[in-house]
Amino acid sequence: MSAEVTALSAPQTRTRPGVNWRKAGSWLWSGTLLLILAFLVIYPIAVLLLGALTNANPVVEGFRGFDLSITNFTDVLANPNVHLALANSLLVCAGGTAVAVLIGLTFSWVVVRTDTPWKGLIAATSMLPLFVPPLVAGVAWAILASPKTGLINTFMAAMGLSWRIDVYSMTGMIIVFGMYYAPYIYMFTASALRNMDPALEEAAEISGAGSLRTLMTVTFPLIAPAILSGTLLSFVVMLGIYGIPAVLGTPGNIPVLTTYIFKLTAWSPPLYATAAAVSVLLMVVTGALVWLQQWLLSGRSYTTVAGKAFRPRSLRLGPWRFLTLGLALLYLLVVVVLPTLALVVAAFRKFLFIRDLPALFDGRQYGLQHFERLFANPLALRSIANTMEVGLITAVIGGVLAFALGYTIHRTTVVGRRALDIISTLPVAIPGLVIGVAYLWAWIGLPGGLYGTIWILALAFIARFLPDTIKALSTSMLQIHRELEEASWICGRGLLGTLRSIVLPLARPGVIAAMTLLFILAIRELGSSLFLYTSQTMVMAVLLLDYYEGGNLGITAAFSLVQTVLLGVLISLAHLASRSAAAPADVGIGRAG
Amino acid sequence: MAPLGMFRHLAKAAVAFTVAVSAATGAAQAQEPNFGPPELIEAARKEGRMVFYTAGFTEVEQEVIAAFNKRFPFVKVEMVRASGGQLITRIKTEAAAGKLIADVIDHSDRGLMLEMADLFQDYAPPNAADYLPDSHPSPKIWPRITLGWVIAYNDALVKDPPKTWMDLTKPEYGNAQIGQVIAPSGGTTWTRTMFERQVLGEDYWQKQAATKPRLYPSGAPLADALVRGEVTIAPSLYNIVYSKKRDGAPIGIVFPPEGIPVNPYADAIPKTAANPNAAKLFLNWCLSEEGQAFMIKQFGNLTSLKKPPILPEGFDPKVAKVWLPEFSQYEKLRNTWVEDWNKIYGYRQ
Amino acid sequence: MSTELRVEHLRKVFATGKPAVDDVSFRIEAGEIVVLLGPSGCGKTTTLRCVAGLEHPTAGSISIGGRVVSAPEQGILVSPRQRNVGMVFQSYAVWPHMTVRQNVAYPLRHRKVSRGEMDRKVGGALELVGLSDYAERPVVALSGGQMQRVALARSIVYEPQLLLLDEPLSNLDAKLRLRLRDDLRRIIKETGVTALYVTHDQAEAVVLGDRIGVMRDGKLLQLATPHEIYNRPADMFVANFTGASNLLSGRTVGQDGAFGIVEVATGERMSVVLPAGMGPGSPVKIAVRPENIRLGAGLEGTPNRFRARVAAQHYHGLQTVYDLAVLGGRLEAIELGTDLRNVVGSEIEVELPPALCWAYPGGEEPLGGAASAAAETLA
Repeated sequence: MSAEVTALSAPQTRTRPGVNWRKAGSWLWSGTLLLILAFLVIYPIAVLLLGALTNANPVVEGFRGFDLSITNFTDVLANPNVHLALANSLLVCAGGTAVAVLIGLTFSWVVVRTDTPWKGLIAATSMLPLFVPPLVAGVAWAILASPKTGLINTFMAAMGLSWRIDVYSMTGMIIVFGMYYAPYIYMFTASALRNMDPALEEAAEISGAGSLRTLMTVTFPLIAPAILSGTLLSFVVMLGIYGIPAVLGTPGNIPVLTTYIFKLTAWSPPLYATAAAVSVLLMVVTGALVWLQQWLLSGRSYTTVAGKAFRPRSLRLGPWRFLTLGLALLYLLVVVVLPTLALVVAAFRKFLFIRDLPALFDGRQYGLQHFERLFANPLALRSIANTMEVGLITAVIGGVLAFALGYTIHRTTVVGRRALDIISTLPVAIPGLVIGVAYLWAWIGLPGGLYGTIWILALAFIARFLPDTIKALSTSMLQIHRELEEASWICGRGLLGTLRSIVLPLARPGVIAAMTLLFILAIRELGSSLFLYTSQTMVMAVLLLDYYEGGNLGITAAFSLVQTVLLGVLISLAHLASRSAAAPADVGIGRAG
Repeated sequence: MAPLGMFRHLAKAAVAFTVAVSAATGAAQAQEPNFGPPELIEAARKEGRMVFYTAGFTEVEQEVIAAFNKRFPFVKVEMVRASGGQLITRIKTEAAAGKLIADVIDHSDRGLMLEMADLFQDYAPPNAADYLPDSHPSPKIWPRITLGWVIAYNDALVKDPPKTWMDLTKPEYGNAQIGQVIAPSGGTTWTRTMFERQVLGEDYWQKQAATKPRLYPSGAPLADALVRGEVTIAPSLYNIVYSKKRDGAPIGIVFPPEGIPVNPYADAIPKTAANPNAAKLFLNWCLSEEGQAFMIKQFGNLTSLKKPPILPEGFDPKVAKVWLPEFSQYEKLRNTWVEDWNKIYGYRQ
Repeated sequence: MSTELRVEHLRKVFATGKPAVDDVSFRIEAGEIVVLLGPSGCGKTTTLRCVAGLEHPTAGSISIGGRVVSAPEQGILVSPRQRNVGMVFQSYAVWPHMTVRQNVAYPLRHRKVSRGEMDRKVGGALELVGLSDYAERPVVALSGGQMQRVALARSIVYEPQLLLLDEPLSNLDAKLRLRLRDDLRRIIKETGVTALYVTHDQAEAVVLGDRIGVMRDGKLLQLATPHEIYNRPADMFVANFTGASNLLSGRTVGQDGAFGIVEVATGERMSVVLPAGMGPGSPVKIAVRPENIRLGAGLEGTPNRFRARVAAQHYHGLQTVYDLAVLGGRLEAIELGTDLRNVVGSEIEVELPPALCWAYPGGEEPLGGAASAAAETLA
């Protein structure tokens, strides 16, 4: 090595402007992000609040009829129907969440911590329901378990059993909700379990605790933050779901807030001010829950992965592993196989009138007529193309934006990152149907012809799913130990160089997963699409609702199947992409010390 | 705009709109159909496209467009479909922002369309005089679609179907066998519930509600439940059950003798239409005898033409007369009566 | 390549609470290895991160090779990447998505280095850390010790002015730690780089450091050679933290040449090293390392000979730890050798060499916090 190098004094003159530049850059960056969020989130919400306060369509009335009043709120709060819908919503979502926690937690534990066979299959199954649009789930379960002619009930009648299932009930909705939102719990808890040092459990067992006791006193409390996050997220998401209660709740006359809001907007004349006021109520409930979650989790850390790591541990279940496998297969049957079969039957059968079991297997009743009619409609193909386009735009731009926000919020010290954090969580609280109107009101007047293009849909989806995407990204980002970045800075690489060569490659599986999630959410999204699509930009979710409202269950089921298959193919591709990307990083987490 | 008094007068006569059997069947297509002057057709050809906002069903309207294109293949019709309230919100917002894209607006609620009459340009089809005055509340607004209510039942499950509206109050059809669309679902259902109370009696709702019908948010899911046997009897729009029956679904249809409540839609052309000629041509065709006959035959619509070009299958105007609500009452009674209905049917809105 | 580091009046206050680093000043000569030693939370890592540029100091200045890299009062803050320092992290921080070679070559990739020279430098660095055969492996296939060697190679491959090491051995198991500890000093010395090393392990500090700085509560208590730290600890905390775990209370009574005379509770008197300026009658605490107590009859006439009773013994194989009741208190003494020479209950003579008995002002400062922190670290 060479001898001492005489230090240059030149850099000192560079450093002073460097500091200011740095500060200016940080302001500029957070200012840009804030501006984007102002456009995507704050402005539409302000318009919505204005709508709730004025009894007017802000675009139609302009700002001259600006007499604010809270009568909408007082009316809404005094309305017993709202009370009922709110109570039902809370009950259904609480029940659904409980079921979801039970299912999600069980399977995440089974997959991560036991030696149950076919774990890969179970892991995949546990995520599958996420891909099913709620309306499709509702329709499938209506076909399966409507009280008189549901296929399950027909089957049981044929078996001579007197037991019947009625999915048009509170219990029915709770169970369907629970089954379809269990993946949210699974996602959160599985990664937390994976990142938990098994030594902690071993210590408990050494101290004399049995497996179950260890689970209850050590494992679950340790991942409690993850359970709580998943629980609240699934609760909040359920609160905003329209499809399932629309199909299952209405025949049973069980209104919930979303179906109530939908009715308010669908009736002629529409009662938007009231709908907006009810939505604000929903926002308050959601906001309180989010706040509660942050309060409960304050001070608890999620950072888990470092260079230090451990071998994953599998609990040897012995013969019990066939019980867990059985449970998993049952779940697969109930959540995936049966609904898919129901859709297949409905899609290929001329009519869904099935008098008894033999009628179900009457081959003359089956044919391709629904698919023929579906594809004879030029809108079907256009909607598929549009949906793919809007999904892709949403996933890419939304993913990039969410990454920028997540990184800024969690990994930098720039000014205003708390504000960014709070603003970007706001959209989770607003049901799609209402935010759709807000976007329409907010953005239709913008110059440049945003309205009527695919971009207005994409922007709405990006804004609407910002919280979900940031959440998904942050978990994977927080797992990248800070020192991995610092090492790169020390090595002389700048912020951008480090992002490109260290952070992005390591976060890639997480980024791809988040983009996939965003893509799925965008494809499923109905509520906000309803107001923003035009003749040129019809999307699948809207067309599906049209078919459903048109009363043709066969063609609805056929289209649902097409959509499901399409999603399945795309997700498998994304999964393959992220798997190949994830491989080295996973190993890195798997073993080191 | 025509004075409302005239409607009231005409409507009292009632019932007004009787379908004459004599004119019905054969001789409809005597002269060459008139879809407008050649200049209009030429101008429409130049425009080549139009945007159609509708509250109708996607599938049905796609077929209408296809039939229209058989005659005029050079006009590409782009459709935006939304349910009633959502469509109104969208139209109002777009209009206020100066971005109303629609060339033709089609809505099930005449009242709401009338409120927006200022948005629309003057338009009348060539056969304007053939339409019942009561079926369109403004000279700018025309009933492209006319729908009527019937009783439908699952004929594989119901051996002794109801014959009249009054039969639906019988206890033997109780216990959730009957399905009902909720009164607040829109103008069409409101027309039927209004008919029930005005024609069938003040206490009809109470008696009918006593059979504990299952309630549905709109007609289509109800018709579907009927096919599946989830409910077995339902007051239904004829067009919804007609197509299912035609395709072989186990459905029986009764035209009750007390009357067939009908709801004419409202169609108009906005002043801002970018393709007004294509819009006019499209409406001209829809409102022509050819268009109306197509919709009657294909979808089970009725018509607001004084002389229907054809009659729906199974519909005998001698037995069942159509009933058109008196327009001012249709507007005035609506809110209070729908509230009464909600209370009586235990529907919590 | 190596150069001096100068830290002056460094202060770092985080959003809440007392300063993490409080007026710390020191200077490291070119090519010297300085180890900052102290219990967790003493501010040693914060100091290191300030030098690296990963933390922004509140006040004070840091200059590397005469170039000021941080002086908040003058608005100077050079970003980490422009400081030309190398750093080895506690968590290794090797990038799991790269091979060994890619990790080590990373710092060179954006420097203007020709292909051949890069290969040469990477090869040299890998050879230095003994990983030449592992160059093409993915780093995740390595053991912890090997990962840390990769991190070390990565931090020296671009011949930085200054090498920073943040508890690099603490995640390794004991055996590996010993081996890598010796290797580390050899490698650092071979490259000749100036190094600042942070640890809580005194043994590591002694082996690695040319000088050791002991820190506590954000303050640098003593910066000296290992010999001086062990033989002339500046205060009670340093003495205790470096293993002088025996404590006796007493009161100064006079002076005997270079040594002070202290009377303990039993009235016995002993000669000790006394800090300057302590008049007679001051309460003091005397710290003695267990290793410095001599057992058995020694030469007649040497000072500080006392009768002790063996209260307990703990046989460690190569050494034996005795609990001695002496001077009205308990002292631990360690005797090397596999032989057990004293039985429990027997009376023996012990000698406490005056130069190795250090008295510090006592009484006003109870030893609770510092002693327990030290004990914890020693454990």
